[in-house]
Formats: sequence, C-alpha cells, structure tokens
Amino acid sequence: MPISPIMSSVAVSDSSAPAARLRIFEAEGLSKTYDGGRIQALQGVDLIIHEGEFVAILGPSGCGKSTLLNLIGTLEKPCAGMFLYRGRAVNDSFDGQAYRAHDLGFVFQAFHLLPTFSVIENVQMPMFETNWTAKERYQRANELLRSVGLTERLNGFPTQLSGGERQRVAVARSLANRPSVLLADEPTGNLDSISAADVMSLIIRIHREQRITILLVTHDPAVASRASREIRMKDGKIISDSGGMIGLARPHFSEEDPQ
Amino acid sequence: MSFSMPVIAVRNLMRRPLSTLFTAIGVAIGITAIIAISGISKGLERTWQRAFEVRGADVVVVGKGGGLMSNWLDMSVKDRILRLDGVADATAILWAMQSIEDAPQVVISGREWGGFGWQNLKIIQGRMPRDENEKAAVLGTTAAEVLHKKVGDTLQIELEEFTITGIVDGGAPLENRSVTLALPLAQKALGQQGKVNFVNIRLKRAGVELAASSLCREIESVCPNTRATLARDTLNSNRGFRMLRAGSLAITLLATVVGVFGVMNTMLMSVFERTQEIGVLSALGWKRRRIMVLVLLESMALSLMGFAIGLGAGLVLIQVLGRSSLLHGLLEPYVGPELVFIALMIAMFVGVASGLYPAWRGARVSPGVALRSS
Repeated sequence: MPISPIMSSVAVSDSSAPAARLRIFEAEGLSKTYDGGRIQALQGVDLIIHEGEFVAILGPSGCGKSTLLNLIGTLEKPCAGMFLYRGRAVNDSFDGQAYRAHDLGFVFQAFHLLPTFSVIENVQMPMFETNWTAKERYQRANELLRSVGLTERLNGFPTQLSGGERQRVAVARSLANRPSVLLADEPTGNLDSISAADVMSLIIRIHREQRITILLVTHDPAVASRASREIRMKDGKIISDSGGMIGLARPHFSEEDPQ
Repeated sequence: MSFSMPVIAVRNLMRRPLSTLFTAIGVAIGITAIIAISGISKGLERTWQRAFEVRGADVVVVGKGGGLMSNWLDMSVKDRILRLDGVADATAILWAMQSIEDAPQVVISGREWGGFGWQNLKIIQGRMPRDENEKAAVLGTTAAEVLHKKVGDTLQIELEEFTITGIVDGGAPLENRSVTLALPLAQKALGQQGKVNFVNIRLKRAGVELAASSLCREIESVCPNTRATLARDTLNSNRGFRMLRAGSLAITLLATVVGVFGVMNTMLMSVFERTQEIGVLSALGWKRRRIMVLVLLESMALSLMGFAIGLGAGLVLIQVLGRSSLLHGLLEPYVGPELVFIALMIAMFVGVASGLYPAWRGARVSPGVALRSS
C-alpha cells in the first residue's frame, strides 16, 4: 500500500528533542463531575504538555482519561480548575469552536464518520469553517486521503470500509485544517491487531513528520509504549507521568517551563 | 456539483427518503389547497367581473344582503333611478343560477326588452326573440353545450317551456353559460314577478369618478335597501365574494400553520436522531451558526420540495376543475404569477419558521454529551 508523506506546513525535526519546550497545555486542579456530583470523573488534575510532545494517557475504563481529553478538546467544561492553551485561559470567553476548527484534530474510537457522505466528503467536513474554496477543500482532502493510503476509496462510503480504513479516514479528517494538536481517544480500541498497528504507525508517522502535539488516550500499554511520554491515570487522578511532572513541579501558568 | 452546505442539507434529507417525501407531501397538500382555492376564488372574480364589463354598465345597483346573488329588488327601483340626474340609461336584470333539465348550474338571465342588457349578445346561429312576448330564449355557447341544445329545441325552466331561437356569443364566459330571455318571462318562470336583482346603469358622464360615487350615494338614499357601486367595485362589496376571499385566506393560514408544524416535527425528529452527528460536527469546529444554517437549509429544502409538488398538483387540479362541465364558463380558474409567488413565499416562510426551533435545538447540542452518549 503506497503511503505518501503526510503534508506538513511545519518543519520536520527530531521528535525526541523538542527545542523550544513551549507549553501548549497547562492545567491546574482540573475537575469534572457528572450526575450532580455523584460521579467524580476527574479530581484535581495538574498537567503541563509541551508543544510537539506525543503523550499517551493510559488507564483502565472509567479512570477519567477520556474526560481529560474532552476537557482539553473543549468538548466539555470543567467543574473546577484552570486550563490554559498556549497561555490563554480556556474559559467562557474562549472561542472553543474556533479552537477546535483551527488548532485541534480529533480521532475517536468509534470513528464518527458521517454515514451519508463519501470518504472524501467526510474529510472535507472540518474545512467548512476555514476559508477554503470548494476546489481547495477537494484537493486538500484528496491529498490527505492519498497520504493515508486511501486513494482508491475516495468516493466510497464509510459503511463500505473496514474498521482500519475508517480510522484512517478519520485521521485524514483530523488533519484537514493543519491542526497543531491531535487528540486521539482510543483510536485503536475498535480495531483488530493488524489494523490497530497500522493506525498507530500512521499516528506515529504524523507526529514524526509534522511535529504535531499528540495526546492519545488508550487502555492498552502496548499502544501507550509507542508514545514519547506516558501518563497513567486511576480514579480521576494522575498516578504517574513519565514526563516527570507528577510530584516534581506544579504548573505555574507562565510561558516558560521552569525546568 | 461542488460539495457545499446545500448539498449536505439535501443529502441529509435523502437519508430518510420516505419521511422526507411524506413531510413534503404534507406541505404540498397545503400548497395545492392554496393554489386551488385561491385560483378558484380569483377565477370566479375575474369571470364575474368580465361579465359585468361586457354588459357595459358604469354603476351596478343590487339589493342589500344576500350571498353571491344579492337580494331581490322591486322593479320600481329602476324607474326611481332613471329620474336621477346624471343617469343616461338603466336596465333591470334578473339573474339566477340553477340546474336546468340535466345540466348543472346554468345562469338564467332575464333582461328588459329593449334595454342595453341585450347589446353584448351576438347571434351566432338562429335569431333573437321577436319580442318580449315570444316564449323564446337564446343560449350562450357554453350553455348550449352543457344543455345539449340547438336552435329549434325546447327548454324547460321550472314549469315553463321555451323555444331556443338562437345561440349567442356574450363576449364573456359567464354570459356564454347563460340562458337569456325577456325579463317578464324569466320572472314568471322563476316565480319572481316584479322582481329583479341587478339594475345596470349607464352614466351621462362616464369616467367622472367623483360624480359616479356621489350618484351611488344618491341612489342608496332614494332607494333604501340597495347597494350601488361602480361596476368594477361590485364584487368587492359582494358579501359572497368577501366570504370566499375570507375562506381562501383562512385556508391559506391553516395550510401554513399545518405546514410549519409538519415540517417542524420532521426536522425535530431528524435533529434528535442526529444528535451524535451534530456533536461530531461541533467537535470538528462547526460553529453553532453553521449548524443552525444546515438545519434551516434542510427545512427550506423540504418546504420547497413540497412547494414544487403542491404547485404541480394545484395546477393540474385547477385545469381539471376548470374543464369540468360543472364549472366550465361559470368560473375560469386563474393562477397568475402573483399567486405562484405568494405560494412560494408561504413555502419559504414554512421552511424558515419550521426550522428555527429544530435549528436552535441542534445548535445547543453539546459535543461532549453527544459523543459520550455514543
């Protein structure tokens, strides 16, 4: 299967040595409860993520890892705590929709492709909020699908694709607006082992080629091991962080990392 | 066609084709009703107005009250009117609509012998009655058709029998569906001796509107229980036509309201069913405004589909009605560009009004909640 390089607007460099160490996300005391406070999904999470990192968030079901990703993606609002994106407070005056359209790419466990639309149309969906012409949208989607190896499937419909192919479409869609962050929630959770490896390779390649910051939620240690940093969660709290943040330094909401 | 918001909207509608079709049919029925009733109402007005025009009256006097046909007037009214200054000529007409022999709804028109009421009738076959005593009638072309009569045949009106002496062209559809005979014969046949229901007046200074209006007021004061109007305004003051217009408006409003709720129901169902998809679009960065626009485009497309079907069905219905022997000549249904435009505006209104609430609901979908529920 010929796969072309992921198109990038960012210079390619070695992922293991981020030079600037700019903080892209900073969270302090981030909490989220559901069902009127009866379910505590997230309990005071402190976290700093630097630009260009590939972070795996690992933990059993119900540990709060997807909730953390949803809060970072502004799909939900925290009940308490503070959260900054590139130093800007993500609060009620923060334009979450513009942030999701321009800065983020989402990949979901259930793919969430729209069944009525063809593969190439699905990839174009996020581009309606940016200033692309119809022709540019088509070309961009075409190039992205070529880059994930789905040139033959442009006009197919999601129901005609295998799980692995669907997730590759979803990955292509997540890159539509050249995001700086990719949020992937259990991207291999619905896939067989071969497709899962395929999708993980794709995500790793995107990280390597584009230097996109990736936050990947998984319950599979093997998947998590392929990330450059591993955060483990349990009962709504971070219990370990290979990036060394836990217990070492609390975020202080400045532009520069204190280390 | 390039992939755009309207394409997305139509594709979403086509996803549940039956639901879309049935909802569009609901709107279409409303549009058909609007086209048909308004087309009939407008057609009736035009047909009747044309008949008034060809009879060459400047002012028409009718009895107060009544429906489409006004109440009876005493013949003496005409003589009182003739004495008024400004009146050049006046002629009394008895007008009734009823079935004759096997034909449904034919106009019986009794006209004063020698009056200008006969002037518009042009003989095509046969001849006019010799005088007002000859038990004869002339038939308009459509009347001859629906009665299956020719010159020389006899015609039974109530208990009286008349010889058909001629076929005439009255210059207007309604005149052509008329059986015209001398006034006293018609009064006798219909049991309305000494009664008429129209007095047509020609003015000395026709076209001087102020003089005509003041004459109308004068007529009404010297002849109580009459209503005098300029010929072109006769229908506007006719209670029957006013009721028809009110009925037409009521049906239009009803069809609009039913259309709004029908489309709203479908759109709400559609939005509820697609909560997760809307959540995905929101997660992908679609603004609330865009989600609202999408739902509104869908409801608009649905209504316009209904408009297209309804307009087609309405035009067919109007054609069928206009050609039926029941109505042929009595009214020529009329669907003008303004009626099509009004129906289109109604469909657009239905589209917007029905889509607003579902669009608002769609825009309120929280991406987090929608995706978590999956």
